[in-house]
Amino acid sequence: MRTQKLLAAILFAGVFGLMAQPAFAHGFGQTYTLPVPLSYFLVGAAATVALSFVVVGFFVQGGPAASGYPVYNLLRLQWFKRSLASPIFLGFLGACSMFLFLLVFVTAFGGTNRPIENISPTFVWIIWWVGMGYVVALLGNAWALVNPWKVSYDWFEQVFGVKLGRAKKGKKSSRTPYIMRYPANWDVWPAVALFLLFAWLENVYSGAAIPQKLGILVLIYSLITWGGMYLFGKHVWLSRGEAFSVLFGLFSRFSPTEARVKDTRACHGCEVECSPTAEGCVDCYACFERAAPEQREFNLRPFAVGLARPGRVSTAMLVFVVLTLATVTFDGLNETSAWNSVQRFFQDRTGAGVASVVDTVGLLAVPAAFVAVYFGFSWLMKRLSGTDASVAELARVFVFSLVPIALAYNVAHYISLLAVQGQLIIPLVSDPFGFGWDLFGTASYRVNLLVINAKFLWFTSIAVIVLGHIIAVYLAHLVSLRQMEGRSSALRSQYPMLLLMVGYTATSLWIIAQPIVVVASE
Amino acid sequence: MTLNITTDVTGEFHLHGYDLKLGLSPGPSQRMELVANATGNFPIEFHEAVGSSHEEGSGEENEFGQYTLGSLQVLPR
Repeated sequence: MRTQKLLAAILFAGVFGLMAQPAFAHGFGQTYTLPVPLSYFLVGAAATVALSFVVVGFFVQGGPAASGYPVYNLLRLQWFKRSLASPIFLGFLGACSMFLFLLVFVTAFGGTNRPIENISPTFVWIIWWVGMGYVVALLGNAWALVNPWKVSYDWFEQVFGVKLGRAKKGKKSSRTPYIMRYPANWDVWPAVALFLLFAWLENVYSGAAIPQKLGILVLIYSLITWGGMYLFGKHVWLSRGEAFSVLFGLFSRFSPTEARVKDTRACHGCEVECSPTAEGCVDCYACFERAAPEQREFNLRPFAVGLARPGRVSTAMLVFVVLTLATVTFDGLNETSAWNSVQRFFQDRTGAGVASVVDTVGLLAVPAAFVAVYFGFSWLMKRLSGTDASVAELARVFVFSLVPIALAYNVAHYISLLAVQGQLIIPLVSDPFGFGWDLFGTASYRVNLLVINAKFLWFTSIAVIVLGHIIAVYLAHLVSLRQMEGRSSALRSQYPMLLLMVGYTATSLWIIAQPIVVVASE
Repeated sequence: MTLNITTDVTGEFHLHGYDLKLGLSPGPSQRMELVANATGNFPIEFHEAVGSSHEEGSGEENEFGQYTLGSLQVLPR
């Protein structure tokens, strides 16, 4: 087994130091990734710049039309209708979701409180949080089917034959069938706030992997979600307030599938005020659920084009997207030695124990910096293109095109966590509570570190990040052709955007080339 | 490869990833042998034994006497 030449060194040996408080409690979610070497970083950076010009050249030469993309309706296939789209299969998915949802509660409160011996932290943080992100981006919005809060709500309505949260008939004054009218100016701000809170729990709070605390957090979030659906209507809350529906909905715009309602007359009076185009109403689950079966389409489409779809983007949505981009980046940044130096800079001046305060400030400062930089480049875009649109309008229109860079970084960042730590689920299914059970005979399974090799990981990370960058540049050009008057104005607007994207991609590459901090010596 | 470890307190030496553990006590050096076939950056921790009433199963993870000694880096060829 001597396939690897050993270049082993014990670093920082013999130093009894204060350990940098990891975001997760000891031993959980620990990855063993090596930083990407300089040569890989340089090749990745060079490819980023060179391929950017290939994309630009493609558009200068002519390129595709500004709107529309080919779709293929899978519901036309009888076998698809009878298998994956059948009520039985969808019901089965919902049942699996409810089972896992209950399992999280039962194990979190009833099992051992040690994170790696209880199934709930591994399931929630690695299988669900990381895994679902991959699924919705690469396959389609599975979250819309298995969201346990939605499934439980639907089940409750069906079992008891009621429609939850309908206002009493006498109340005529309110223009909503629900108990309360969702305030229009709230927009997706509740989802922004909840997502920020979630990002803090994930990246800063050290108790999020401790089963009982995790159970309490899930319970609180469940009450918020059920309450929101009950008061304002299921679809209204899911599309405005339920942070994961908004987030996974955003990621799934990258995916090669979409739910579409052909006849947009059904969209009049849509409770979530979707913005259909002439081609139909895409990924509005309120309309999809209400539409007649023959109006429904479940389409295959090219990857990423969903991010360039026309449609109103609100300021709150802009903030949500930028927050997503920034927290994804911060998630990697706060493990680097560079960030550790920042922590220690403040620790040395204010006394120990402020690492989490520094992280909290960082979690707020990084998105703020992203917004500032992005608006700066939007201003440049306006200046260079000479468009009438305001800076804020340009910022809103182009923001989705940055998503592939964040998704690519996210995929690169989490490959080893999913491939290595994700294996913990194998012994845990046999002993979910940590009671020493062996239900399926897998309890003694040991994590196999050889599933992922450093060179493979380095190559994949760089390739994925460069690919994400190219897609982002391409999307921004598509949007500019729709947004700007004339091709030359559109192309001029893209020079600042290109610069911004190269900078953002370079940041992603830089982070994965940083040593991950294991220790902070005093 | 072989690690020779000496300590002045009783406890457990833990190489993460490979998940090798070695109970240690003061005295002559003890050996940990492994085939470093998996690449990565593996933290090494020392869990100091806490008296005789060592209580397992406390939920909080800030148990007393846990030190990060460093890490073992295995680079590909």
